[in-house]
Formats: sequence, structure tokens, C-alpha cells
Amino acid sequence: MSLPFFLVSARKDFRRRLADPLAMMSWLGIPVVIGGLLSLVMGGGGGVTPKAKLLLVDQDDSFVSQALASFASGGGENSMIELVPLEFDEARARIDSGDGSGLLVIPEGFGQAIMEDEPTQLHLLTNPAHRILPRILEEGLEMLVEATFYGQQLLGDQLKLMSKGPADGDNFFANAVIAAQAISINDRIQAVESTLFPPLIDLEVEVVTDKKESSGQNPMTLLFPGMLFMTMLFIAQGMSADLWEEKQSGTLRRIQSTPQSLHSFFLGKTLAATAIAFGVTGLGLAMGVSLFDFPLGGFLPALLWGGFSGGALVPLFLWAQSLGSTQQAGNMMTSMLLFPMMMLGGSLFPMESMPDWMVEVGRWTPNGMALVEFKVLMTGAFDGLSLLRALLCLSGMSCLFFYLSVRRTVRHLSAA
Amino acid sequence: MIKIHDLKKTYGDQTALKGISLSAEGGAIYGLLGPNGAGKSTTIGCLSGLIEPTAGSAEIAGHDVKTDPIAAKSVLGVVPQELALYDDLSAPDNLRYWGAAYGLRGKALEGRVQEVLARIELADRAKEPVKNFSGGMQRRLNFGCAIVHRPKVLLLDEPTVGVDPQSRRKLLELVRELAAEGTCVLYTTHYMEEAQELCDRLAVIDHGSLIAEGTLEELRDRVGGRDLLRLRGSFRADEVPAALAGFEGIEILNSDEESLLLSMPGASRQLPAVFSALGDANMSVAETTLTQPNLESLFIQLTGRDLRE
Repeated sequence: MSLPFFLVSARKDFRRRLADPLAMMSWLGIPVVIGGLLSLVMGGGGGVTPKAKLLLVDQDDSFVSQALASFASGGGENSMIELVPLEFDEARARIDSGDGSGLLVIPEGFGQAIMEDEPTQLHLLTNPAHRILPRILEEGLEMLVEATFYGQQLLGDQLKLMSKGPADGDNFFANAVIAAQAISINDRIQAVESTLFPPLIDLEVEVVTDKKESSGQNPMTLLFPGMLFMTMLFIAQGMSADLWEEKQSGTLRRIQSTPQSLHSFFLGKTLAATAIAFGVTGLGLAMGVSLFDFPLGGFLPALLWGGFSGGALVPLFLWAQSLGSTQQAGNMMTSMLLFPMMMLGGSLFPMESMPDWMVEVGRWTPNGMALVEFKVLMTGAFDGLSLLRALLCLSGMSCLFFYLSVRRTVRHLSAA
Repeated sequence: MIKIHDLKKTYGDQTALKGISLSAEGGAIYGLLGPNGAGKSTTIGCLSGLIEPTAGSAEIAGHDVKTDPIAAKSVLGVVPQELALYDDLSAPDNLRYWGAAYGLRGKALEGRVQEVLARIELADRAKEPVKNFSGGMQRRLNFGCAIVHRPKVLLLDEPTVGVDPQSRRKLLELVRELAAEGTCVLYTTHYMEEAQELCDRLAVIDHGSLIAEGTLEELRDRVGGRDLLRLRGSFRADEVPAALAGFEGIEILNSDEESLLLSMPGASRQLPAVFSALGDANMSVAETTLTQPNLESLFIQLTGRDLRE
């Protein structure tokens, strides 16, 4: 089966792009760099929260020392301190080799000393190579020590009694002793209640997040679609600039002396850009699925939409190039389109972080309209009516500018 | 194969073609000779569909370029003056693309690509991108792209400009081969030697008008065996006619204070007498160039200007 000429032309342009990997890299690289920087600004890539690794040597192995360790690593998975119980020699070797933010030694007799209100010491060695995490350990342990001191001041007598154990010959405390201690503890707490617990303050903690941002959303999920469409814009601009290369190399005039129309020639260029847009979308989505847990269900629809809308942007840029009488003027025309479209269409900053009025304008830019639908499709959702509307708008715009760009180029060549 | 009738092209106030008529047959090389800006490229542009003529008509193998442009273009091959190649692709890829532009596909295209590649002697460089080629090799490929579809009519617009002698010889040889195979070739040039060596029939064009047309012999006859004598020295233009009045058949084509251009029969024999006559009139000759009858002398005789001016 013989290929129609526009496909032959598309294949030619595709191969020419592949022969110029640097240009392709720049189309991909610029959005990745900008997106990476924005991701950092927005709080990293949602990676693992850094934790202070605390090597613990519990030489006391008492109820108190275990309670202290438990407090230190309180919060489980969400704790900023990861507790690693070890023997002293191994712990010392590891901290000397830089493995760990700090080494806490709870000496033998620590629990007894606390119970009996006697002086005692905790030993904390911090890793000088770490700057922030050892400070977190120091602060946390100081708070624990202070809490222990105040607990001791408050309930020292009761703790002393408990540490001494039952009366000689008894295995358990008598019920009367336990009741007396309970009442005593209650009295102490009531006595300091007015000091420790002033009128109850109900601290309502609200984590202020952007109302549009879903909780726990990976910043890359926000940034990726915009980055992808920034790439689409660069592809469209790059492919449109090829018009000047074709003019300067004489091939555009030569094609006019063949039986083929410029429509086939321009269509080939648009299709080559579409193929590249498909490739870039597929690559981006694959990375998103594997690295950032994008839902797999949206892969195919998002791929189709990304490729289509990437190609649909090309005629607009071809038209802008055709308005220029020189390559410089043509490139300036496309740049005048490119940057506002990037800004308004959610490619430079996510629409979620843009003012409402800007979002409203941006949604009607070709790339913004495509981006909105892409985001929906990417999540695996589907809004048929909205998608159809965007499809018709993009197709209409693409056809209009395709026609205008061919017409202007024919005129330009005839006048030359 | 090519029929042009009263072809005119104007750009605003400027007239590029003032009504050119000519016809060329298959198997012949028709030369269009003229200085830069004479209208050669405009003629080629009108024939190839790049430029829309203001008036007149042109036919390629029986197809009117205005009313039936696609049919006309499909039997036409054009070798543009400037290279028109994809230098990031290989030579076979360029040939494939331009062959496909003329409707060739599949085995027919591939066979033709290999044939042309061998003919333009680039088969051994088939894998390299064109940007690695020398200027001459690129010129040969530029030519190859125009013949890959076996055109009935081939238009060459000064294809040897800036080409090394070896590549020029090869190109001229290829043009002769195609003509021998029955292709009608329209060849524009401002190199007289090339036109004399290559063309069966010639038209001399200047300022958008055809000023002479015929075979090489016919055109030589128009010069009438007259030599062209160029003198440089110190002259008084107003006194030259009187000083040379005694010479039979002499024609003063151009004269100013530093140069004198004369057309005369048997100039070599009359040279001492010419020097003497000019000396008697207190004019001196410092440099002399004598040219025997050729296309250049015809052009100068017709226009009073050098072809390369």
C-alpha cells in the first residue's frame, strides 16, 4: 500500500527531528528543569521525611528506661526519631563511622535513681557531620528530661514508695496502700491543677493548605501536566521554526514545483509533531506511573489526548511563523504566543496556585483547555461533554490556523 | 515539449519578462543565455509553477501550467539554482522523498533511487548525511533529486554556479545523457562556454526580452565573422568615430575615456592600422583583447554590454 504524501512528509520530518537530538533534548529539558525547580519550591518531591536515627544503648533495661525510649520514638511511623537499640560497642562503632544522628546511653540504675529522686545522667553523643537532626535529638531529649524532673517533683514520694516495693514478707502491695497512694496522687494533681491546667485551652490545630489542593497530593502530580504541556508548546514552536529552515534550504520552494500541495507538506509537519507529542506524553506518563504513583487507569486516554493536543498546537505556531517576514521576526511572533500561553495555560505555574481570574482566562487558551482535560483523564476520570467541547475547540482552532498558515506561506513564496 | 508564448511577468512597476516566446523539443538541450537579472530564473519560475505569469501561456508536455498545473508539474523536473536538499538526511533519503513527491512509491521508487544514486556517483556515500558532502557532491544530489521520477522536461537554473570543474563536467555529462534519452532540457546559464558546449539551440535574453534565438551556428552567422576588439588606454569618445572612419565594416559598440569596444572583420590583420589611426588622433592604447566570433561577441554586439556585467 502506498503512503499518501503527507505521511511520507511526516516520516521525513520525524526522521529529521531524530537526527537532531539536541533540539529534542532542549524541548524536554527546559520544562523538566523548570518543573524540578518549582517542585523544590513547593516542598520537594513528596519523598521520605528525613528522620533522626538515634542509636540507643539501654544499660538499665528498666520500666523507666523503656518508657523513656518509648517516649523518644513516640509517634511510630510519623516520628522524626528512628530508634535503633544496640549494644554499646556496636553503637559506638556505628556513630564513629557516621551512621546515625546520635547515640543515647541510658546508664544502669537510671530507673532506680528516678524513682528515688536521686541525681542521674543520660549520655547523648551527636554526629557532628549532621547539622539539623542531632539538634532535633537534643531538643527532644531535653524536653523528656525536664518532663521527668517535674514528674519527679510532683510524685516523688509515691515513686519512692513504689520503688521500695511491698513491705517485708509481702509479694504485693496491700490494697489499702494502693488506695492511699492513688488518693495521694489524685490530691497532688488536684493541688497543682490550677497551676498546670489553667482554664482549658482547646487547641484546635488546622493545617492550612490550598483549598484546591487535595491533601497529601504529590507536588509532581500538580506540576507534571503543566510541564508536559510546556514541552508540547516547545515542540510546536520548534516544529514551526522548521518552516524557516525549509525556506532557507530551498526545499519549501522545491516542493512547490512538484505536484504536491503545501497542505500535504504542512500536514506532514503537524503529524510529525503529533508523533513526537505522543512519544513525550507516553514517556512522561510512564515515569509518572512508576515514580509518582499516577493512576494507571488514566494512562491510555491521557496518552491519546496529550498526543492529539500537542499536534493541535502546531498550526497555531506555524501561522505565527508565517506572519514574520524574516526568521527573527517569525521566532519573535511565536515567542509572543509561547510565553503568555505558558503563563496563562498552567504550564509555568499549576492552575491550582494561580488566581481565579487567571485560571478563568487560562482555561480558554488552547494549551490551558487541553491541560484541564488532560488532568481529568490522567486521574482515570472522564467527563464526556467537557472533553468533546475541548476536542471540537482544539480541532477548529487547528484547522483554522492550518489554513491561514498555508495561505500566508503561498503568498510569501509567490512574492519572493 | 516546452511551448512558451508571449510570457509576461510584472512586479508592480517593474517588468521581469516582456513577452517571451520559445519552444523546445524532446531530446534537445535548449539554452537560455543571459546576464544576471535578465529574466532567466523568472522564466523557469513561471514554467515550474513557482511564479504565476502576468500574461501569456506556457505548456509542459502539452499541459498548460496555469490551467493544468498538477499534470504539468508531474512531468517536470527542476534543478534549482540554490541547493534544495535536507542536509540532515542521507542522499537516498533525499532521493526517496523527492521521488515520493512525484508519486513514486515502493519498489519502483527504491529501484529508481539506487539507479540515480549510481548515476550521480554517490552510492558509496549513501549512509552519510548530506551535510558531510562536498559542494560538488551536493550539486550532483540536487540534480539527482530532479530526475528521480524520469521527467519528460528538465529545467536547470544555472546548476553549475560555484561548482568545481570536475563536478561541472560530471553534471554536463549527466545533462547530455538525459537529452540523449529523450528528455527535453531547458538550461539557463550565464557561462557562454557552457552554453556553446552543451546546447543544441539557444536563446539570448536580456532585460526580460529575447534578443536572439537559434542554433549555435545560426547565432554565429548573425555575428557575421566579425571579431571583437577591446582596447584599454586613453581615448576621446567624441573623436573616435572620425579617427576610425577609414576602416571598412568597423562598428563602435562602446566607447569612453578609458575603453573602446569595436566589432570588425579581420581585426587581427587590421590591428596595426587601428593603433596607428588612434595614435595619429593623439589617443594611446595600453591593452588589447581580440575575441573571435562567439556567443559573447554576439551578446555584446546586440546589447553593447558584456554578458557578465
